[in-house]
This record gives sequence, C-alpha cells and structure tokens, in this order.
Amino acid sequence: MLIHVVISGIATGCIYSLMALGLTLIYKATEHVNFAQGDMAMLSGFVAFTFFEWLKLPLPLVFCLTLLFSIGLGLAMEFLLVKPAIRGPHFNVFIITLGASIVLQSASGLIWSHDQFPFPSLFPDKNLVLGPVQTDAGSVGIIATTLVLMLILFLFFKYTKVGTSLRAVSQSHRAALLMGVSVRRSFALAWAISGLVSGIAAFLIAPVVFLSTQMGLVVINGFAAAIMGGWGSFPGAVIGGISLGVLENVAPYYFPPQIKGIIPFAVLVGVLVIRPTGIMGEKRQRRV
Amino acid sequence: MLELTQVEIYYGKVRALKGVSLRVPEKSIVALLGANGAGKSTALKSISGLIHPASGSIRFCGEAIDRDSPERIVRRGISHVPEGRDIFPYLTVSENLAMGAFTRPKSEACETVQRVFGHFPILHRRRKQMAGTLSGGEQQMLAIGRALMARPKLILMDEPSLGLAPIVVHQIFEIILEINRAGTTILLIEQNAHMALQIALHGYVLETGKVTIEGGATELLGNQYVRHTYLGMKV
Amino acid sequence: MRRITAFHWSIVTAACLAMFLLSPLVLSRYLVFILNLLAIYALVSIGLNFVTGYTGQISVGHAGFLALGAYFTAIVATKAPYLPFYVILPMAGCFAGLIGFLLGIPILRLRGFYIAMATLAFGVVISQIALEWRGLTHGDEGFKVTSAFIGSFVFDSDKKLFYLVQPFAIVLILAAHNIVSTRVGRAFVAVRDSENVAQTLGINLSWSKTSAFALSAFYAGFAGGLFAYVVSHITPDSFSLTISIDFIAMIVIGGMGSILGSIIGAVILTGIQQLLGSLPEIQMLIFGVSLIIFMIFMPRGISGVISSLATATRAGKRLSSEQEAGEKGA
Repeated sequence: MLIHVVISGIATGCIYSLMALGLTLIYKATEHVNFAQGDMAMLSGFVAFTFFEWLKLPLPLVFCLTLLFSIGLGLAMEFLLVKPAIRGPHFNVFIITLGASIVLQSASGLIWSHDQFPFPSLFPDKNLVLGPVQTDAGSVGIIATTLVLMLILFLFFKYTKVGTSLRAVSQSHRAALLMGVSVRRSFALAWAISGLVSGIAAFLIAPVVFLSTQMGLVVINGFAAAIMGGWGSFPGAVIGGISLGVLENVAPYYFPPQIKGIIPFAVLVGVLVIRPTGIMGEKRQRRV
Repeated sequence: MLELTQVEIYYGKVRALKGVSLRVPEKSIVALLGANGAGKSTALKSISGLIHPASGSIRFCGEAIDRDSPERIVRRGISHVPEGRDIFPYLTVSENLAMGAFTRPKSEACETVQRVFGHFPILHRRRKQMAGTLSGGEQQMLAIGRALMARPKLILMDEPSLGLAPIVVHQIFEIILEINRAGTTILLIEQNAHMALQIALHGYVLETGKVTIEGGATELLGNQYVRHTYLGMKV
Repeated sequence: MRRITAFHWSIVTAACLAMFLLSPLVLSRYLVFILNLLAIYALVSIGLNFVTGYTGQISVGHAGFLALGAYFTAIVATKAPYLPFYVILPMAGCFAGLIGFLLGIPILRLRGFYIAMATLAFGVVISQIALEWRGLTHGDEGFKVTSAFIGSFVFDSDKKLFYLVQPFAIVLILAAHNIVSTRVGRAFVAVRDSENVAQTLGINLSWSKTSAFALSAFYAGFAGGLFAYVVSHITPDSFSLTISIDFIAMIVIGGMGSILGSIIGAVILTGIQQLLGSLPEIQMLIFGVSLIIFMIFMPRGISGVISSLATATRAGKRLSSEQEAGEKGA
C-alpha cells in the first residue's frame, strides 16, 4: 500500500522536477527568475484544450501543435518581457515575470473562464501490476516521460555545440561573446526550451488536477523543489522535485491532512533557514 | 592591419578614451602600456566590439568594424583574451577550447586543437579537467589557446602576465613570440612594460585616455620618461 | 519672478490638510471608507518600501504581516475588551514587527531571490494558518471585530473611523519621513546600493537589514489592526498572495524608495480597484500589464518620473560646466 503512495509521490515529484528544470534552465542561462513558468504551462494546457475540444483534433496532433505553441510562447515572452529590461537589475525582470503571471492568469480567465475542465491524459486509464507493486499507467507514464525528457536535455547540453554554448553563456557572458556566441540568441533559446518543458508539463499536470487558470500555482512547488535540491543545479532540481512529491504524498498518512497544502511552503522556509544551498548546493562563491 | 583613428569612448558621461589613434602593422607585436585606469582595456574592448566608440573609426584590413557586434568581429579574425582570463570554469579544458572554435567549421577544430596542444602540452594533459581547477598560469595558457582556436589574424591580449609567477610569465611570453612567428599579429596590454617592450615591435603609452608617447620598442626602452615612469628605473 | 517660499508651501499644506480632515462632512460614506482603506494600504506600502525600496530586499509576503496585525487586533479586542484601541494597535504593530524581526534574522543573510521566495512562503503559510486554525481565527467564516471606543464613544461608522485611521496614518507617515531622512534611512539606502561598500563604511549590515524588515512588518501590522477595525469582519482571503503582489505593484508603480511614491501607488491601485471592482478580471489584467510596463519603461515609478523632471528643471537653470572630471577605464 505504501509503495503505491510512494510511486504516485514520485510521479507528482516528476512534475515538480519539470517545473524546477524550466526555472533552473532560465536561471542558469540568463540569471533571471521566471515566476510565470507555471502559467506558461497553464496557457499551453488551455491551447491544447482548444485544439482538442473545439477543433476536435486527434490527441497526438494536439500534442505536437501545443509544443510548437509552447516554444513560441517562450520566445515571445523573452522578446517582449526580458529583452526590453535586460540592462536593468535582475529584480526588474523578476517583477516583470510576476506581472506576466497575473496577465496570463486573467487573460486566460477572460478567454476560457475560471472553471475547471477535464483534460485528456496521454496515458491509458488502467492499473498496472509490476511484480509485487500495484500502480497505475498514469503515474508510470509521467515518470517515463520525465526521464526521457531529462535524458534528451542532458545529451543536448553535454554533447551538442549549441548546448555547450548555453552552458558557456551561463558561466561568463563576456567570454561567450568573445567566442562569437550571440548571448541574445542564447537567452531566446533558453526561454524556448523552458517553454517546451512547460508545454510537456501541461500534458502531465492537467489530466491529474484538471485544467484551470490556477494550475500555474504549481510553479511554487517548482521553486520549493529547486531550492530544496539546490538552486541552480539541474540534478538538484530533479532530486528536490521527487523528494517534495514523495513528501507531500506520504505526509497525510502521518500528519493531519491539512498539512498537505502547507508542505511546499514549510519546506521552502525550512530549507532557506537551515541549509540555504539545499541538497546539491550551488558551487559558485559570491565574488566581492 | 588594424587602425584606430581618433577614437572617443564614453562610459556614461565619463570620457575614457580621448581621440586615441594607433596602428598595428601586420604580423607585428604592438604593446600598449600605461597605468591602471589609463584606458588600455577600454581600447581593446572597443576593438573586439564589447563597447562601441562615440566617434572616430576602427578599421581592420581596410574595413570599418566600429559598429560590428562582437560575434562579427570574431568571424573577421580578431580574438580577444580578456583581463582576468575569463575561462569557463565549469567546462572542461577541451570544452573551453571547443568554444573557442565556435565560429569555425567543425572539420577544422581537430587540427587546430592539435596545434594548440603543441604550444601548450600541459593543456593536453589536463584536457578532461574542469577549467576552474587549473592554476593561474595554466588558465592563462587555456585562455590564449582558446583564442587561437578561432584561427585569428589578430589577437588582443589584456595583461597576460597579471598575477603570475615570474617563471610562468617568461613561459607565456615565449609562447606569445612563437605564436607571432607563426604568423599571428598581436596587440598586447601589459603593466609589465619591460617584458612587453622586449618582444614588441612598436609601443604606445596611454595616459588618462590619450596616447602620450609612441614609437619603436627600442626607442621607448631608451626614452627617459618611460624608463622613469614605467620601467621603474632611476633617471 | 515671484519666488515661492517655504512659507507659501506650509500655508498650502495646512489648507490641504484641513480640507482633508474635514472631508467626511461632505463626502459619502462609501468614499470615506475608500479613504480609510487608502490610508491603510499607504501604510503597508510605506512599510514595504522600507524593505524593498530602501534596502533592496524584496518581500512577496507582506499580506502576512497585515494578517498578523489584523488577527492580533481582532483576538485581543475580543479577549480583553477593556483595552482601548490606542493600546491594542501599537501592540499589534509590535507583534508583527517582532515576527518580522525573528523571520528576518535567518532569511536576510541570503540573496535577494531567496528572500523573495521565503517571504512568499511566509505570507502563504500565514494565510493558510488563518484559514485552518479555526479555533483561533474562525477560518473562512471570518472574525467579527469589536469596534474601537474611547470611553463611551464607539467608532461604529466609516465616518467616525476616519478620525481613528487618518490621525494614526498621518503620524506614521511623518515618522517614516523622519526615519528615512536620518542616519538610519541613509544607512538603508547605502545597503541597497552596495552591500559591500556599506560594510566598509561601518554600517552593520544585518542590523540594518533586519531592522528595516522589522520596521516594515510593524507598519504592515499596525495597518492590519486599522484594517480590522475598518472592515470589522476579517476573512483569510483578504491576506492572500494576490494581495501581497498588489502591494508590490503599489511600490513599483508609485516609485520605490520614496514615501510619496508609496502613497501615489496606493492611490492608483485603490483607484483602479474601485473603478473596475465589478470587472475583477479586467482589473487584474490591468494590474499585471501595468507592472510590466512600469518595470520596463519607468522602473523608478511615478515618483521617479516626478523627481527626474524636478532635477532636470533645476539643472537646466544652472550653467553647464566642463565634464573632464574623473577618468574611468582601462
């Protein structure tokens, strides 16, 4: 029985990891924090919903079209929101993404209303028995999708020229410029990939929590996950996400049920107070 | 090969370079000397495109480059080794070098890397190490090697000897000579005026944003003012 | 040209103040309520400016301090009905300030982004506690607040509450103005501009940051107490994350690092809220878009624009001098 709970916890945790990965990616490449990461997923979800329910397109096609949209959304947000404020302090961009979050939520509310909508799952709705363990196809699907995506991202960053250039940009803008790398294009790419990640996340989140304009709040779990795992670290984002997911799912069995809502926030404050660098920690020292 | 004419650069309202003119002939080594804050790094940054001049012109092989982006300038054949080396600390030595060849065709990189390892055998030994774990001298070599990966016609070097032990400084300067002999033009900023003038053909002295003295290296070595102010010799 | 002296300005100010204080006689009950709300939000906004505008640490959870002050006031007014409001309110402020101080100690040594996240979490935890700890706060049913009184005079209408809220607001605003003009305030600004340099100037960094944070919590808590009396029935959803973001919008639009900016921001946001109250979606949309536009084009807010215009006018009257000072470069 507990294993079943842990597996759903891991599945939830994978979703948090995806959010955390998107956040970490943008932070590492551009040193900006994107508060609207979750709302990007929410909007992608609604666009998918429109393709599916109103245009009656088949799910695989909806998936591809939505991912194209998510990439475009990332690019658009970088162009409209980040590029104009690029010369100012990072604080400015953070506030801008805060504003973007509000805009995305209220615009979506105007277009689609604030109701909750059921969302089709990419995975069949049945139970799976893997040896002694009983779980469901949905959880397994989420975990598998996340693993595949992480593998692809890892290979991209480690072995491709563009991926390495993104890593280089995150370590020194000036040196990257002097290598002939366009830092501007790198920023756009980081946001595009982040958009893609949030688009995929939408397909994993929406079937479980139902599609609604409040879906973007999952970004806070993403932040908690990233900070717990070590802000600025990709493996940290994954470890933090999965830990948080498992923690959230297991806790209601030992503590009063109201605690579930507070967990990400309690974790956030707890980690920051006790060990701010999180599990994996960011290696960089602050240069005086 | 490189010609700056009356270049003026402002940081906000502050005039950092005031009508600076200098010429770097092909295949030579030219030294740019001066105290801290004189404008030397600024001059280099204007050449590599990190800053753009408010007025004046910068011409490379006859073409104006003062409005080009750093990306374009690298593609034209100018590489800049910045002050403080600025290597990518969390990339390996090999990856750093690969970044140097970012603008070059893939097929070429293999051969260029061999050449760079030829100049700096220690980099070959450390090629899988994180660049941030290298010593200061090794990082300087990496920075220069990285610049070489772009097969530049002109290399700008900002204080290569800074913070390095004298033996290492000697090594670095030997290598700079080697690179020059192989056909690359070099514009060198150095506080270590003595070493710079040993290997350079021409020199310019910048003081508070203006060129105050210019001439052949031997001339400068003999110049009273230079000897007193920059070579630390009693007059 | 006739010179406008300080004497002229003080007459104008006194006249405006008098008009303001007499306004309940001519304005409707609703408008007086709005003015009360405005004063409360202005106080929170000023408090937030201590932390964000002046010290450069961002707090995304100030609604939490508002909640602490409001619930403290509501609970104490019920449990100790003999205590007059002018005792309860400062206590509420101090309570919030103390929590702010305790929270600040571990959190303020972290970098800006972490502080933002920690304060965000704090704000949400407080509103969750308000919701779940029904025994103490009555949860989402809301807590009815016993009215403030002096002797046998009870502040049970908006117009009467005006004379409770505004005097406190005026006093606190003047106090804030004093604080930022003194050494303490200048220390705050030094910390914002460069923490390293501030340290070399002998400013005790953590003391400055923590006291700025505690002070801002005090202001928000005090405002929370006033809020409790003004709305007389408090519910947890008046203290949500959205409200915290509203406060940030106030100081961004009005201008960070400026008391006048805080007030302008509070006025504009309350104005939008009331004008578009029936269209909450459009209202939020406008908030969000304003936040973005201001951050991109006017990061110093409206008060920033005003002071730039003032400086430009003054500079234009001076002769321009040679600008060869201070070489930078190399």
